[in-house]
Amino acid sequence: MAHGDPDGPQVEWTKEKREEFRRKRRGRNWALLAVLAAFVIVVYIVALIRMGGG
Amino acid sequence: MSDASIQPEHAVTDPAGVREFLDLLKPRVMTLVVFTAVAGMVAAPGEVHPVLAVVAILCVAVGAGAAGAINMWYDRDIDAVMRRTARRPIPAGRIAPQEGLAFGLVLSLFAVMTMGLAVNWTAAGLLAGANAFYVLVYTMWLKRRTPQNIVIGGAAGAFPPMIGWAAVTGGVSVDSLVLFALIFLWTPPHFWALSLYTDGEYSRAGVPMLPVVAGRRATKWQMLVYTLVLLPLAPAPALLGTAGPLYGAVAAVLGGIFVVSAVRVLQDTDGRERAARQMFGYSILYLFLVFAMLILDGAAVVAA
Repeated sequence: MAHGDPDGPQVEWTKEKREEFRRKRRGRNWALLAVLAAFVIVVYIVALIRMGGG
Repeated sequence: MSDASIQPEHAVTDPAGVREFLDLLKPRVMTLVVFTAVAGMVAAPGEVHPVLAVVAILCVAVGAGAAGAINMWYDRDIDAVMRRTARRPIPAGRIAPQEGLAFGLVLSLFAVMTMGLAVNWTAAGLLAGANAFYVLVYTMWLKRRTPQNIVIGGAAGAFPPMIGWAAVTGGVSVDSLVLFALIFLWTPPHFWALSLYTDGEYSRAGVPMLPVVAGRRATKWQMLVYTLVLLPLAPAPALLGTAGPLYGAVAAVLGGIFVVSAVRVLQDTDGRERAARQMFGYSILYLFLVFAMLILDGAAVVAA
């Protein structure tokens, strides 16, 4: 397996591969941002409900 | 950002995207888990704030997905040799094992803590117990050691309606234990039906599924026994007052069909296991319809 494996096959980083890597990482970062933002909103709303006796 | 910043230390042929991480959560299994948890919530006496109900369901979904991710991390060696599982993200090389494990652990912790803080700690404890049972007892201990792996390990999948019930009532009762028992007893015939026509793969992977160890005939008899035990248990919520008589009648009819399908599997001796394939499909429909009836029944009570 190549992932994170220093002994894995060496990959030549062509321009296309680099773009693909960058695109996927950007996607992951946006997804993480969305999840964290949603979590903050959930915690805020739950706190309001719990404080209101809900 | 410079190109140098994205040059990894190690060779990465195909970095994982969001889709790969979603696949790690076993979304199809998650669907059934969420569905049975919702049924437990609807059937439970009492009320819970709708937002807290949604949070509870999210926590169950994420917790179940996290347990699935840890399971994929641990089972990556046997997943790689079975056709059904070889395309999962870790054995297919799309996600590094340590990434999968970290993802599962973090999500599991988040799901349990959020359930405890937002809903109640009984539901959180049950969610933590279900995850621990699935990972430690089923995946790491039983799965590769005993042909009864599915019987005992099936308890992990039986927790969701109990968690849903606990999210509303804050406790555990005989009614929620019946819902637990329903899935617990449904699991062996469901998985053994699958393993009857995939036993070659399990054998190659070294997983001692019952058809591999005890033979197909013995497995089919045990499947029939479980469906017979399930037959009077599924309508029990109607007798306990958790659900109405319509639910009881439908559950009895569906249970009868489940028994008939087990008898057909027992009579099917031509080796192609067509009856087992049909029973596997029906077993999913059976659980879906039983819990759908429970939800409809509970919704009708609320509406009345």
